[in-house]
Amino acid sequence: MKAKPFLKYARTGGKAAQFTGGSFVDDDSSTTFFLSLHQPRADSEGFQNGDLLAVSSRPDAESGDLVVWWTGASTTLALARVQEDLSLAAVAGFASPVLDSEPVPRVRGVVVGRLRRAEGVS
Amino acid sequence: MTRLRSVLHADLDAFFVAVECVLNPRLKGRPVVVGGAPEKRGVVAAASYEARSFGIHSAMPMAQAFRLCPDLVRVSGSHAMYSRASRAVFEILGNFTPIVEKVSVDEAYLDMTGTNLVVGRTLDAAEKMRREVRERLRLDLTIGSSQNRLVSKVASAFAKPQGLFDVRPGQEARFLAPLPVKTLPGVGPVTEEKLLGFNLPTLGSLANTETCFLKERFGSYGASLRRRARGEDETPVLPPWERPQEKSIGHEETFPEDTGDDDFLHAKLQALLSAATRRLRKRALLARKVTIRLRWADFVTVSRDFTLPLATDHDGELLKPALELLHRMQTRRTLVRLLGVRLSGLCRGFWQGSLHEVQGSPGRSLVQALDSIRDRYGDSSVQTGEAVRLPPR
Repeated sequence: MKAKPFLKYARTGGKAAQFTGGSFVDDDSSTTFFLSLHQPRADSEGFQNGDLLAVSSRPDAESGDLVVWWTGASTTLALARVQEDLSLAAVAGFASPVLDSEPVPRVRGVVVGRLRRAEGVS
Repeated sequence: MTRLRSVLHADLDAFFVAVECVLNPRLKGRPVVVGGAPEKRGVVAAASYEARSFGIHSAMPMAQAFRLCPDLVRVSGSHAMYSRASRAVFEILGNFTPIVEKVSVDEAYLDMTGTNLVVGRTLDAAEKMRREVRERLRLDLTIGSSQNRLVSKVASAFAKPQGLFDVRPGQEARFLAPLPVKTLPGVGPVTEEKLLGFNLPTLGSLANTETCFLKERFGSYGASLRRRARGEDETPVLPPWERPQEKSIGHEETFPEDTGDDDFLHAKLQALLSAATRRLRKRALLARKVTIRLRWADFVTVSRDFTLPLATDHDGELLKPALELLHRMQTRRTLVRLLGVRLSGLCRGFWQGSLHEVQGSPGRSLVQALDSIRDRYGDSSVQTGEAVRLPPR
């Protein structure tokens, strides 16, 4: 069976932490937070295993945006792209959200950037 | 979203100290500073990340640095060696794109637009750059990547040390929004204090402020601040052959008698613009920004500026907005003593006109003909209709 990609809340060191008061926290009140990407294979988005995704939690995603969606539990965090009809299409090997499921999937934030550090640097 | 431009900001981590560590690997992992001796009132020129963790930073008196960290290792530094290392780094960067703008010995902008057929995807190329610099020179490079210089610069600061941060196209404003205003290049302590005083602590709050509010408080810089806080920047990356020596070209004149004659001021503005753009053309330069300086009889002086979407060396394109600006500046019932024009935002090139040029506007050939007549017979040999109002020289 192929290993599935997943996202995990992460903290970052260096200047990124200083700029944001070092508090990229895993709650809804933060404006930007980091997720580390764990994926076994390369994907069309150019992401790599171990990349840190910077996610803005402002709930104003638009068509074409890459978003993180979830159903409320951190184990359900996944990537998708907002389509023209504002539906979510799965990307980078993540599962598609099932809209009529309970709890209802919702957008956790918009991916604004990607941080990749040299090996061995946190 | 498609990337319109692709600009990298490459910045070497703790460059002077890193070079010292290459020369003497025993310094690695220790709190190291480069700078003058404390007994000679020396200051810190550069500090390793280990030294920075003690609160040591550049420009700090060396004696204070030693008080903060008694185990500090100080090296005097060799600027010849740093220049050599810098040249080697820039040689590597130049293999990825011809458009490299060196900002300092350890910092550069690279325009990667259109290079993907040659060097692959920009982010892969950036990764390769970092790897080559690391493997060949044992130096660490941090890179910020986005669609423009401004956001790439913030991104590289964000990614330090040893990071590569890519801001996704279209997400510039969202990326900047939570960052403190001081992270915006050009916002110094004075502007920061002012912004905090207006309860604008983050770039997001600045970006959402009405332009007129910012213009009232900061002049034309206010509008620029707002645009930049939204991650908007069209400044080109200029390779060495396009970078002019001059920062600006200007002309100004104090009148023999103070005047309140609008027609005279308009004619004078036209003559000053004409002289300034002629100097641009002689140096094969183009300008984007025009600053008008006005001094009244009571010596109160104001400067206002405007920026064109495209650089030009053609006074015909500058005259109308310049006259409008002059009109807006004349807010007092006092006579005018001095009028000046300064052209800045210079880059190398020749004006090419617009595909949608207005029928009947003076074109390149007319400007060249006027220049050659003035070169041969003097500045006053050919004048515009308005300039006859000016006294003969």
